[in-house]
Amino acid sequence: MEEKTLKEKDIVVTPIEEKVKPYSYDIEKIVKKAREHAELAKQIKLAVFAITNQEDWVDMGGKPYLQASGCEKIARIFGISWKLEQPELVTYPDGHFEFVFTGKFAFGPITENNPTVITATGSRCSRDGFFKTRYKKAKNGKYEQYELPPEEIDPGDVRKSAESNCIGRGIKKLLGLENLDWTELEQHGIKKGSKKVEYKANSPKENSDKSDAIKEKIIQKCKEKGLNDNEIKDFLSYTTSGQENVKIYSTIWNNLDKYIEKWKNQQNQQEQSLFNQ
Amino acid sequence: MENKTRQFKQYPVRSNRASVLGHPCLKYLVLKRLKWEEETLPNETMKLIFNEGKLHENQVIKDMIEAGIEVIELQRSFEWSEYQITGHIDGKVKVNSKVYPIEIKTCSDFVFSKINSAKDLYESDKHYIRMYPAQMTLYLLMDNKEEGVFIFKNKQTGQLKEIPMRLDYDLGENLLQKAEKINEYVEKDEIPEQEIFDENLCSTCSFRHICLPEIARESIEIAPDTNELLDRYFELKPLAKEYKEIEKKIKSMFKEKEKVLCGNYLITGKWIKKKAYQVPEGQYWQTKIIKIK
Repeated sequence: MEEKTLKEKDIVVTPIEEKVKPYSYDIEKIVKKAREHAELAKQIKLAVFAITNQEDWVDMGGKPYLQASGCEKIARIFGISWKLEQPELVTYPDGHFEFVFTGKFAFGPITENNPTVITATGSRCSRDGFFKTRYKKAKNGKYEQYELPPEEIDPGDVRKSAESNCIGRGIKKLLGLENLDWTELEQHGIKKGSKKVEYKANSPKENSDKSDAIKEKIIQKCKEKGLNDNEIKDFLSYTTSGQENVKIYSTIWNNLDKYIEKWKNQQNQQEQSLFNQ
Repeated sequence: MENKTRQFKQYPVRSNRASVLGHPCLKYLVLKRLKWEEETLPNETMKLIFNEGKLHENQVIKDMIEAGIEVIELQRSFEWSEYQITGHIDGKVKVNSKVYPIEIKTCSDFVFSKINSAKDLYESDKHYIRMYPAQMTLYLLMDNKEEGVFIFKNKQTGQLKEIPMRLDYDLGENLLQKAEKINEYVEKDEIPEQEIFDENLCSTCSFRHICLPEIARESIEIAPDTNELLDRYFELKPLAKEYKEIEKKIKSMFKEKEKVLCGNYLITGKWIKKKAYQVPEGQYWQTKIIKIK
């Protein structure tokens, strides 16, 4: 092997300005921004705990859930804006119906240049016990529970609840308030109150089996549409906002093409805003 | 409670109600006519408040009659078909052969203390109170009267207050023009664009889920870290409180004592005359600091 000694003149020093960056964006800047965002997210959470109280939180299946009234209270303080699209009305063969709202949420006004814009969906179905369950006085003087047929359920009520659900989910997604647990809240003085929502329709096992089955169908269909595993994971996180249940997966399954399109648009917007920063 | 609130139902809205025509949002008023079945009913608390209002209203009429006031034409209905305006007045009182329409309103102690003239109704920061002059104006126009009276009842104390109101022709003209506009939209079965965005009005609107207004807010400001200053502020806060309490105690102990020697301290005192002055009306910025960590 020929040995070559490098002399000073052989070495070409490229001025820093002329150095070609490996990527067209600044990694350090992005990491710094990510750290700042993480610190800010922590501060936001603490502020939310400080301005809400036990009454604003409800126990939903063992997890703390910030109610719509609490969400709107904090949205005002943080200056969260939103714009909802007209809802989609999904009708089922048994006559039940569901309103699905999609909206954009951001800190500050919703503009194309605002990097904080996110999309969230929310829905309510006439099948929910809240809408269909009523009580009547029986002959023995006791109240008996009965169910309203779908045509007697007020669509306005379902629509209004779906709108609130979408707003609540959007605000929570933006503030990073999903997937909280009671221990975290209790550390900040918010104790589990008496407000509780339990799902009684199916056993947890039945629910979990059903949602897994629909989820599997969605994954299969996404693969057929050319999405890779990471993309599918991201798509599911975008559409479910971390909440896995039969209702959410059914809504996604019934509107899969539309949701994939929305998710792709969101991806494009996010990439665009990353480069714009 | 369920029994009390069950009576609230949705009814078809075929006219412009005098009690709501003063609402500032045209879209709301058109939705009220075209999408009445989709309006959300008041929540349980509001239903109970309305029920209470009705009870108080009946009691006020009863009290007035017992006091010897001649109350006539209770709950008389009105209709102005040309403008599709309808309404019903709580009653009329006869004083020295003159007849005045009356409208009874119940309110909290806070609102009661704030309302002392018709001007206060026009300038209230609550939109539903600003709607009262419009309601009375329409009654006066439909009944061809020059003056009407609001009777406010303080729900906490039971106190009553009369607020007379003269016919406001400008307001009347505006309301009739508004009614014409609504009727045009209803005729065409069209809903107007949202013209106004009012944070308080839109966020509690019973048509929010239909209107879907864009909620546009300015983002919270992220200030540079001034933790040291704020930390010190919270450290001193309890001491400042204690200082004030002790100062108050000492001053009270040595009140009206001109010269006192007390251990290591010499305490003197005298009367100081206060000059009277009026505080001019203005505004000030209120800052509230919440410790989050």
